[in-house]
Amino acid sequence: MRYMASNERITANLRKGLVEFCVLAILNGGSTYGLSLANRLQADGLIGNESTLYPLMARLLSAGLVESEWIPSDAGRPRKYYTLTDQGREALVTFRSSWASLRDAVDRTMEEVGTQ
Amino acid sequence: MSENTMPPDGLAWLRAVEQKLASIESADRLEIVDGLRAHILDALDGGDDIATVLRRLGTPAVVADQAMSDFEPARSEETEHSEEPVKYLTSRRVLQFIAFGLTVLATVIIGFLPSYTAVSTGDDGSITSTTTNGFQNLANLSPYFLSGMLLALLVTLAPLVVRGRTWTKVSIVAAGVMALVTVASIVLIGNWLLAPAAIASIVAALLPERSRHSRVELVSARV
Repeated sequence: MRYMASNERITANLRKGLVEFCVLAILNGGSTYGLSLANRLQADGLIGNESTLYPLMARLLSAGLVESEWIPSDAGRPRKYYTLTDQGREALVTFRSSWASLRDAVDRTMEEVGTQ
Repeated sequence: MSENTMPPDGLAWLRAVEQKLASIESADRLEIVDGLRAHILDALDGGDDIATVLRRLGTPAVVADQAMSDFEPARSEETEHSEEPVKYLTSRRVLQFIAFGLTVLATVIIGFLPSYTAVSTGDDGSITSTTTNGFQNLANLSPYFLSGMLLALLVTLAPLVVRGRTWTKVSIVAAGVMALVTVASIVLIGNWLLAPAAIASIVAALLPERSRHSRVELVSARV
């Protein structure tokens, strides 16, 4: 089958595996609830559909990188808040160093090829 | 979390999603549905109507497809990044093959061997030979003894034909049954021949599962 490099496909493939670290990065700034997280990620173009966040959160919870808790909110009804764990913080640190070198390598390659 | 504040359309949507996620592990499935439920309730609190919220989330089929595709790569990576690839012939399985082989050997020894020929010389000097072969020997064995051997063959064979999640359970049960059959054979008829197979079967069941990368490592390994 011929590979079609559409903008959507490239973005979707690049997003896979990166979004979870963006979630960890957001949670590193403080606990937040699903809707807020989904809105933020969608506004940044990191997820296509709000519902895609929850399988990802389930994986992060299962991996012990994130924990959740129902906390009473101003609205009176408890809200489900997600918090970064120490393990999640460590994973984020690891990702940051890996990502920096990967990003540099890709940029370097693209620049070199671009000049040819 | 109470579902009282959830509109009927939301409840039906969540149930449909949950049903479509049946193949995902229970804890993950419940976590996904719980997250979606909290999302819907938060959006409703924010002033959105249920139809709008559900439209933004997508149909249950779309949501389930996305969730499945999110979980499937994790499973395949688990295989890809495992220290040992998922393979049929693990050390536990090798021991189970040995257990089955030893049981077959014990059955052959007991049931078919020894095959011997008795030679006698008559008064007139004629030589008569009588051969007792294995089948005759087998036929002389008691039904209890035969059923014990058959049971031993079956329980050592069972872990070799089972794959997937039930394999560990089958291996443990098989080892337990094999131990009982062997003890019964020793106590009741003094037959020690099943003991090596029982030991192999028990060791196979007690060996630790092969090590796997944790999901944490998998998440890190993706980049």
